[in-house]
Amino acid sequence: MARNNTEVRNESHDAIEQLENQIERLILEQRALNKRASSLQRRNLRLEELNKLKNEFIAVASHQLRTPATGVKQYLGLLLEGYADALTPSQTLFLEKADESNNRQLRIIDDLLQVARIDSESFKLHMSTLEIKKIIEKVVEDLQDKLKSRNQKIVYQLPDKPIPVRGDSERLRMVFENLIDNASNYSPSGTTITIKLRPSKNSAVIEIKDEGVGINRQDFPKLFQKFSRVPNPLSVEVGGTGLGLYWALKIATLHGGGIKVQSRIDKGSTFTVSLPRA
Amino acid sequence: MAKILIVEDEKLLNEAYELVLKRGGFDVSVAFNGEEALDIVSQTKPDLILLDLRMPKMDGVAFLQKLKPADKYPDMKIIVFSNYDEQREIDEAFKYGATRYILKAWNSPSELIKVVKETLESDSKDS
Repeated sequence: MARNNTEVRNESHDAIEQLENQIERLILEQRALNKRASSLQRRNLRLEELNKLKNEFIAVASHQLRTPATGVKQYLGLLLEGYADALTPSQTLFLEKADESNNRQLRIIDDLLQVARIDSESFKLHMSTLEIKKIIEKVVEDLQDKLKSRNQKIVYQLPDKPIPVRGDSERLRMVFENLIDNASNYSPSGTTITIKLRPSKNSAVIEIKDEGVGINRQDFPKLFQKFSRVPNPLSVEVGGTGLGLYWALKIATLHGGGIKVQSRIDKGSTFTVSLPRA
Repeated sequence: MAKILIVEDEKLLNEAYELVLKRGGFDVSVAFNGEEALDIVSQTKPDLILLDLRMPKMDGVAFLQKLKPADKYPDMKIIVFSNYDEQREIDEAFKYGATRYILKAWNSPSELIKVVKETLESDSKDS
């Protein structure tokens, strides 16, 4: 049955009104969203600012902490190196323990500074073409006293030809120092650390394999988080800040590479670093 | 006997370095800021300066800028011994004539002697 004109007009009027309401609602929603977006943007800027302040605070505080620790280091050194009267064996032992503890404090300060630096916007790598083998050999040489005292052996598996990479030599030295030092710290005495260097398609691959306490698979993600330490039978003895692997992964990533881990409890761990070839 | 000038505002460290270097057989003088150090350099012309960077009155970099070691004292060795290892400060120190830059926190007395002897014996400057 045909509807009359009045009915059609009323329906059109209602539809237009509905549309107008909808448009008005959308405009209000849009305004609310814009407001929310600019508030989030402001909050984001504020967070960035706070993060910057946090890094600056860590840097200033750490530098301030270095001064008294330097005094402790010098004066313990004066006693231990015979600048005062002769020491009894137990006095020497206690002073050595104090020195060890102070060294640990200095390492924590160094770690905090490294992380504050890498998290800051001004951080940059100083790139050049490098021979990774040389960097690793220097790290092993520097760690020789420690390895000897723990009766640990380094075995190299090296390729015939050098694999040049583009990298920041000092930062990469610290990455390998961290990984080889960890391999030593978390392995019993008398074990072997195997360092293997091999080329892959576009990368140089460096594997550091130990025969240590190993890491639970479920703890893998925690390993590379800031301030995270995975408990194991040696973690209390080793100490540390839980910043080393966070820093190392960040450096490897900034190079365009990465670090992977494979491990089995009581069998040992392998940390594999990949770096783009030059 | 090589002449060494220690420039360090921390009395505790200044005294320790003086004791170590005197015992190591060096002729040692001390200053607690850059201003004092400039006076002593003009009088004693040391072979080596152990230089802190952050000091009151005149800091280490300002001291180097005034001293102009490259022009006026080309044979003088300058070890910057600082607890600040920001790249900007390291670059500045080398720009104004430092021979070496060492983080002082990690050096025991025997390491200090070793660094000083090595630097005195070296011919060239660090890059």
